[in-house]
Amino acid sequence: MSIKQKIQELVTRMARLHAGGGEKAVEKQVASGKLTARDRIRTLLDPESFHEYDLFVEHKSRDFGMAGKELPGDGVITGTGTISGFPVCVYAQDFTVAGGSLGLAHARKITKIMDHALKLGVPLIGINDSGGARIQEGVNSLAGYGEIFYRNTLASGVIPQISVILGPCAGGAVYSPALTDFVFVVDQISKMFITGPEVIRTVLGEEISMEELGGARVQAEISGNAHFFAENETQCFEHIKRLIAFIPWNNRKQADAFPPKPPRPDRPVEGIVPPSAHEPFDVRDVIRAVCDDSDFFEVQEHWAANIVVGFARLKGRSVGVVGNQPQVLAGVLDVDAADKAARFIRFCDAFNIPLVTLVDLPGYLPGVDQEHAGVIRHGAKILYAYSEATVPKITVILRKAYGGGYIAMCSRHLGADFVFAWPSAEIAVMGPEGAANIIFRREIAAAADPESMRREKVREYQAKFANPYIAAAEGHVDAVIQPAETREYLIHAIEVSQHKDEVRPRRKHGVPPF
Amino acid sequence: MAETKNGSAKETRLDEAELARLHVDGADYRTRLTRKYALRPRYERRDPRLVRAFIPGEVRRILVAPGQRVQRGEGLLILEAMKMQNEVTAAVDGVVRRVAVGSLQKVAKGELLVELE
Repeated sequence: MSIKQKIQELVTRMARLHAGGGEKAVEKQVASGKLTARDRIRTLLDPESFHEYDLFVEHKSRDFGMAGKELPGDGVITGTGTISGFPVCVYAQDFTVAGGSLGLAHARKITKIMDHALKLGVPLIGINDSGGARIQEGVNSLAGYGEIFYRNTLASGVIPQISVILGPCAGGAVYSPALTDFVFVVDQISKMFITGPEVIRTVLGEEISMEELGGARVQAEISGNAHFFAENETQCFEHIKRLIAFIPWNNRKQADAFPPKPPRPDRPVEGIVPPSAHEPFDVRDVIRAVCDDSDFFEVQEHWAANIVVGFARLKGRSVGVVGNQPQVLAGVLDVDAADKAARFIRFCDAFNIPLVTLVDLPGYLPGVDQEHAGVIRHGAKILYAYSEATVPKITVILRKAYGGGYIAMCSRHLGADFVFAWPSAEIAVMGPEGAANIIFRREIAAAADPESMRREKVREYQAKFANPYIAAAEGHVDAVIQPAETREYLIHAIEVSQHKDEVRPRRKHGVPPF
Repeated sequence: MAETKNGSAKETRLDEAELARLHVDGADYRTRLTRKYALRPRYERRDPRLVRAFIPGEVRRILVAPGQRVQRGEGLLILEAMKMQNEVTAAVDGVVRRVAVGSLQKVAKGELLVELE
């Protein structure tokens, strides 16, 4: 055979494998509003940047008619490429090949690209579209999942791991995404659950559709399993590209700096927060008023919306922003909010992204459901995450900072490097109403007009304690600043914290209240 | 679900109609409630004399009859769920007033099984 013929043979072999599960299966995939695995990788990565490996890998199963059955790529495509020039490792399950089912060869391709990502120190992006375990391969398929979970855990906090759910991802398979840093879902396409509607119907007698049980909206709004919700696959890939630009390649690097851009405020920052502590506003307006280009990339926008987390830039440098959201549940901390913030704080800390915290909360959400759901141990996660974080931590108290909420929101006492307060800040052991009711209980009860006495005592407490100056007098607040100076103070604080290097006692790892 | 606001420099307007009141530590705050908050389970004090299914399943066998005296910890019926035969026991001493289910009946979670007095 001439070299030309040999090359021709390679081209023919590759073309057959590139066709995936064949025309019919591909047609079905496209008809359901999904891109093919290969097109997904092409859309996500820079043009011509994808380099595929292990295209010729074959399964070795013999049982249940599997012998000689050709499964191109064993149902998964793996390789390396770039996103806006950033290197990444990527894999995409191919639903057209045996339903993207996971057998041992399939899993070994995934674990091999994961090992690469870890060695090369680059982000890993996994595109999930699979019917689950390849039943014919029995326990080998389970072994495959386990080996993936193990690597997800080893890579956690070393390289960013991104899961994209573009099809079913059910049973044990969902635990890989759950172990990764960011989960992307797409409306009507993503389906995640441990036990499906069929099992729930037969065992429990409860009727529920796949969409209602574990669709994209449920995961993005109710369960908090997903971090980013998109209307379609193209929008989902745009979100991934934005995220990649905010985070570093690995935990030994800083996120790339971008050219600084001023915010594009549509009104002065001091006009955003209403003077009455009882009135709502959107904390994202404050974030956009101070960050570069007013560009705030929110994480878990729809779940636990009483706290806002996400990425922004200050003078070109990435920061992670955590802010209480007064317009949702008054910005209280609850089980979900603490969980959401703690996870985000730990991601930022692992990947050298400074933390900016904006505070305005009345405290913790009261309720039997909260107490019984374990708001104590969940609420403790946020204390743990802030205390543990050694990246620069800068806190701005916008308005209310009462009681346990004040402590939890990256107070000086949890190791904040800089704590600033607006003149509107109210830093106190509790809100004036609650405090007055307790301190002046007797006077109020004995008064001829208890209601007017209560109002008077609330005003008295307010005048004395509902301000930033008592905390500033103790040094718990470093500076009381004008709202318009916030951006300048934040940028300066981050600049002078560039070389912060906090050393903690040696330990294997902490034991956070998971 | 709200429209995605990512990347928008536009101020987000509050919809007055959406605002409710949330009471925290003596003060009322004007704010939006979440769907999850609105749907949260209300706490109900449990009456130990009303024995309910702790898991959905099928009643396999009934071990007591009305009028029978039972002691705390005594089996009332066998409830099969998730391939396990679970013995449902009395949480308090009492007399069976009523058995609310029949043998081989499928029951939902929380459904009344036996009433004691």
